[in-house]
Amino acid sequence: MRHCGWRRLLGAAGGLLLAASGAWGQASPTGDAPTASGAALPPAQGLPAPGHQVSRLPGGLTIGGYYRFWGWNRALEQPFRVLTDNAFANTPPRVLGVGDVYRDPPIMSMNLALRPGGGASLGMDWAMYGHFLGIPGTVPYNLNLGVNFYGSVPTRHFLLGFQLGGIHWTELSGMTLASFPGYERYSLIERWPWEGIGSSMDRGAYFFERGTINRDARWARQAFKGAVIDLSELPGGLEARVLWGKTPATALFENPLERYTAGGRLRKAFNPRSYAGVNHIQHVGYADVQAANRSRVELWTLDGMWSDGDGELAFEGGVGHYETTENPTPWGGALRVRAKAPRRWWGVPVELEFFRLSPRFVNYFANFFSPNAQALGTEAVLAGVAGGGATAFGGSLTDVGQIQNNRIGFNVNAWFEPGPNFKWNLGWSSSRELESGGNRLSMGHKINGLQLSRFVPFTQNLGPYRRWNSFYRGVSEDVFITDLDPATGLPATLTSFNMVQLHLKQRLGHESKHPALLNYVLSAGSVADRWTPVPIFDSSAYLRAHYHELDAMVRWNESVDLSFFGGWEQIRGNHQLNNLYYLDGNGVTRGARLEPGAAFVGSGLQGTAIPGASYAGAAYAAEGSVHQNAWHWGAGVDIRISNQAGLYIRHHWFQQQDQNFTEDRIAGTETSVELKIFF
Amino acid sequence: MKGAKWLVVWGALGWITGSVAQAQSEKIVFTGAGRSWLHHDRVAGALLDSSEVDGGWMPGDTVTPRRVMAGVALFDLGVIARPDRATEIVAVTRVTSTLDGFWGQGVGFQVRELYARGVIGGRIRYRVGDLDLRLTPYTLWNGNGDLGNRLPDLWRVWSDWVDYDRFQRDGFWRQQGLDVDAVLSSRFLDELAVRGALTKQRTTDYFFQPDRLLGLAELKGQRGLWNGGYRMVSLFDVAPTAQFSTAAASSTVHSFDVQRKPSGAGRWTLGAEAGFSQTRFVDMAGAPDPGRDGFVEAWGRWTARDTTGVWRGVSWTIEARRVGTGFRSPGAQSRRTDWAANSSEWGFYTNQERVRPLTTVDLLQDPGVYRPTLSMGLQAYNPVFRNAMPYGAATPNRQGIAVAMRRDRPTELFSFSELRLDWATELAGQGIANLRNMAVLDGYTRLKLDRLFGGKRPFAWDLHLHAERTERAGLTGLGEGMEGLGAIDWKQAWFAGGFNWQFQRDLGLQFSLLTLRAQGTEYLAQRDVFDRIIDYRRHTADLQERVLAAGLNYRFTDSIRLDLQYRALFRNDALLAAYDYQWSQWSLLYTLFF
Repeated sequence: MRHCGWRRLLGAAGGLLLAASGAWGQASPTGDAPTASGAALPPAQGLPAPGHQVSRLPGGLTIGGYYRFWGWNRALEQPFRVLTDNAFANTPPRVLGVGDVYRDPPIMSMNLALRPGGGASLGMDWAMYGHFLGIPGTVPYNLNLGVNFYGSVPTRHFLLGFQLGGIHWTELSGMTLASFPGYERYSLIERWPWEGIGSSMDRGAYFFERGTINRDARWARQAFKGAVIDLSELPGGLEARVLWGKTPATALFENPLERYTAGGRLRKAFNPRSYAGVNHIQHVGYADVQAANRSRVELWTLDGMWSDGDGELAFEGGVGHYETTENPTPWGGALRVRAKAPRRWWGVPVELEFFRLSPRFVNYFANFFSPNAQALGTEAVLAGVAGGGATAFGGSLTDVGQIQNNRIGFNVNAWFEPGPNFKWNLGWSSSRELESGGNRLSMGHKINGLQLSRFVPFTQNLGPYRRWNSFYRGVSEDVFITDLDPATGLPATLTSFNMVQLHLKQRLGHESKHPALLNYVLSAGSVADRWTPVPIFDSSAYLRAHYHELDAMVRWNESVDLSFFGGWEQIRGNHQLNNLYYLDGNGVTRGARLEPGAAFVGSGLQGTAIPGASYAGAAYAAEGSVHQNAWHWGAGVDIRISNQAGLYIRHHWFQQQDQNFTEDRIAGTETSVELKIFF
Repeated sequence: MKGAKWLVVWGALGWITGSVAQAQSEKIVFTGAGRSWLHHDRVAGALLDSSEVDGGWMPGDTVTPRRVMAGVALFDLGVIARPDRATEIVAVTRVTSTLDGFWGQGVGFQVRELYARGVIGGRIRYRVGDLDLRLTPYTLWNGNGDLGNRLPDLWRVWSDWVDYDRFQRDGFWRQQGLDVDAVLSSRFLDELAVRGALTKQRTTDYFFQPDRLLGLAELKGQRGLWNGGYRMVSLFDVAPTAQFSTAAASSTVHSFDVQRKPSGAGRWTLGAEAGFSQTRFVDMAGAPDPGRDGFVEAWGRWTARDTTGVWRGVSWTIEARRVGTGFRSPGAQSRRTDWAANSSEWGFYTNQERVRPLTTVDLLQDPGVYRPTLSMGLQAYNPVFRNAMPYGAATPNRQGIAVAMRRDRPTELFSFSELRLDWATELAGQGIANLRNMAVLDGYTRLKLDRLFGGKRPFAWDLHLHAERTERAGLTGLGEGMEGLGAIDWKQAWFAGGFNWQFQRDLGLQFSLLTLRAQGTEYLAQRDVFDRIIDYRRHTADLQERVLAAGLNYRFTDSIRLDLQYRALFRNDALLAAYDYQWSQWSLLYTLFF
């Protein structure tokens, strides 16, 4: 039997009973007469159809997913001081937990895919938790990405595809909707929550060969809810994408006021590796129900890429601005040009990139940071930070390639392969502000950032000095330039940023029973009041940061891999940075430099002392500016249980101390056990 | 076998031969539905602006969002388990996710349906859990839709979903309880069917409000051309389920009906139904004495047997009915529309956050304005939408006749038409001795204009008009100031028209115009908790609603479609112009049944 629509079956049952119970005319006064085709309804036999059931699923239902137990034990020598009003604070000296402090990943993700035919499909993922909270039998569950609808409509001239409903990981272009993919210089010890099965040597071997690790669909994309419409196979090699919906910055729960993200791109492909396109994105919101005061971030760009498989030339440039109805701002331009010389030119592939991004070229969800992204309000910025796209903090000392707006600069990267078992690469970036963007600087913690971020997730201005900013799997801290122009309250000169990264990968015993891999990353950067081509290593720089990360992993046997790791981090500020933190009249963290030991009270600074502070750097000025040392080391065991299951154990010893801001004194251990099973 | 002989009728036989047979090899079958709705709304009009009303200054609405963007995605997944040939378990879960919720916010989970059914010993059919019950329009019938079901295709995607969501299609009430039926035969009857059901309408609060149950019994018989039966439906409280109260109410309907099918060459089908109701209140202070009243209906339908000629596909129906003033039938008179509900979209307006009166688009789009439970008393209705027979055929205090015509020629230009005229009057005056007189016209036609052009690209028009007029002469000869008091002149008209032009194989262009017009004066009965009229409220209106809509739809299959629609609602009240508004909406709607 060809399965018909539910309406027909219901109509059949309804029409039948109607016919049995009386004349059709009986129902007419209330408009419930049988359908026009009622005369052709089939006779009744057997049970009536179950309520609204239409048909047997035509074999298009699949269910898959994974189970991921992640248990951890953190022991601090002393509790870390956090804001007492933060409900998510998680810094007692001892934590025994199951599941990360982040919402994701769930303990179990079960994904359903449904293809009822006609080019339509539906997907949904259950996010099941169970964090051993002592409430067995009553643990709520949720969706992860939500209910997603898909469809493809073939036409004579193009193929229309669309995605509706829940969260879709999508992108337009680097500057309009994407995230920075990175140059893959990092420690391999920590597994990402979304990674598949693969022990440390599996991951290491893949990393050595390909320079990356396996990731899911979200990599370099952004979360988007709403409608994503793709037109492909257009004449002339054109393809188009249109977005209309919500990003975390424009989704305000239970607030129906118009807030949306809309954009699109039109792209022409010249060959599989070359294209040119035009892109647009805008994030729109209203601050009042009368929709009189609109806030908008808007960008238009052109982008393109040409590649012959080895050499590559890519660019993106455009204009953007952010505005409110009451405060329009002029457009600002942006340009990013990247050229990768083929190996045959100089023996090694070398990539050069130039960029210049106006301070008015702002985007929450792009491959560049926007420290000044305040156009849609605080909620939007926070949401952007939570989504991993935007930054709410100041000018940052970032990895090579991670650019920011209000900067002009360049990146250089080169990859060397002196032997089959040794690879190294070098990254170098240098940039300078276009306008003075303020006196706040941010630097991240590479060594213990993940552990520190679990203290309090997604929170700004926390800690004893209210200088920590916690984002997804990371923490940064704010410092303040105090050498300011009295007339403007801004640094007297434009601030410059430099970063150099060296990445070494050594493969040992590749063909042996116990292959091993060494992975080392050095990152050295500085922020200064003058531009220099390379990082400054003396105290003439506002801020200096050095990070060393070393991993060693070895295959013990077919089922077990061992890994060892260590890291060291140094962050130093000079005499032009603050030695005191306080809150201004709006409750925002500020920094000032006073004579060491001078009390905030009576200093003449406008604002208040950090509540409850009685220590150096908050109640009174510290001896100097930021002066941090951090290290960690540890070991791990990866056990292959089966082709679909693995067990991953890590133990960290870690410490972070600031010589001058002595309340930032963290030391302890963290042990984690991850069991991951795919089905 | 002596006496009655059990027959296997619906049960195992149906399972073997029916559509379910294909799935017998499948012990677990999945079913369900999905829907994604993304919409952008704009509101404008006098409501939002400051204005002068009766010499006073009325500030504009500063609360209503002028622009809204929202959406929801939901997924109903049903599992049908068939452990054996005589048993089936159905469970449907619903997951909803709102557009504005990221990372798990705005997600809801519900059990939408859960029931088991089967056949015991191949003789007795049962269903326990969620039930769909329906009898006749005087006993148990969910037939009080206020806009009817003759809608242009553009709106069917909405109304079908509402009916699906609320389980209110084809007159069924969704109930929770037990339904058992079986069919017997005897030497005197060809077939004798018995049925009983017990469902729960309301659960006790354990203190003062007792459980409320619905019970029904049905006995149907057939012999030759004749069939008929007896039905009893009772809505009743079970007083002992509330610890501190002995109060209980009950309302029971008894009904008998008989039908005669056409004989060999005959064209007339004849039928009649009659019955009475009893209403009782026990241990309720101030309650009236038990009430009893009845109804009677007779009808005849003439069906053309011509396969050619002018009468082909035509049938005529003539009806006469009388429904007493005290006739109460909760199963038939309960109204699905909850006029006190606030719409899930823009539910409140004005600076006082009043509930915004429901409009045509609310009734068409929002399942939340419908209620699934039966009411012991007569519920409020909105005369703007239905006034002459607000409780359907079972509207009390009515007597009248109706003539209906139906013409069904699916392959012709006028592929389907129907016209119905109702004339009714009251049995007893309300407030004054004079009686209301009512006339109702309901006409619908479906035009397949593509028949004029070869029929390759379906181009179907749906045109539906429902018009009512209610009149009553006012008091006369009582002196100045009283002259004309109580006079009623109420006119209401509802038009729903539109087309669906399938200009590509799966792609259609749609357009619709809906208009609702209500004008005049009516007196609405105010009732106490015992359903007694305690006052009349004078209701005047000069209201107009117009809805213009256009859309594109793509059909993946018969039950999966994607719609892009724009609609604009213009609501104008000549008596309260300061509340006029326009409400436009873009919708991207993906509806999927599997």
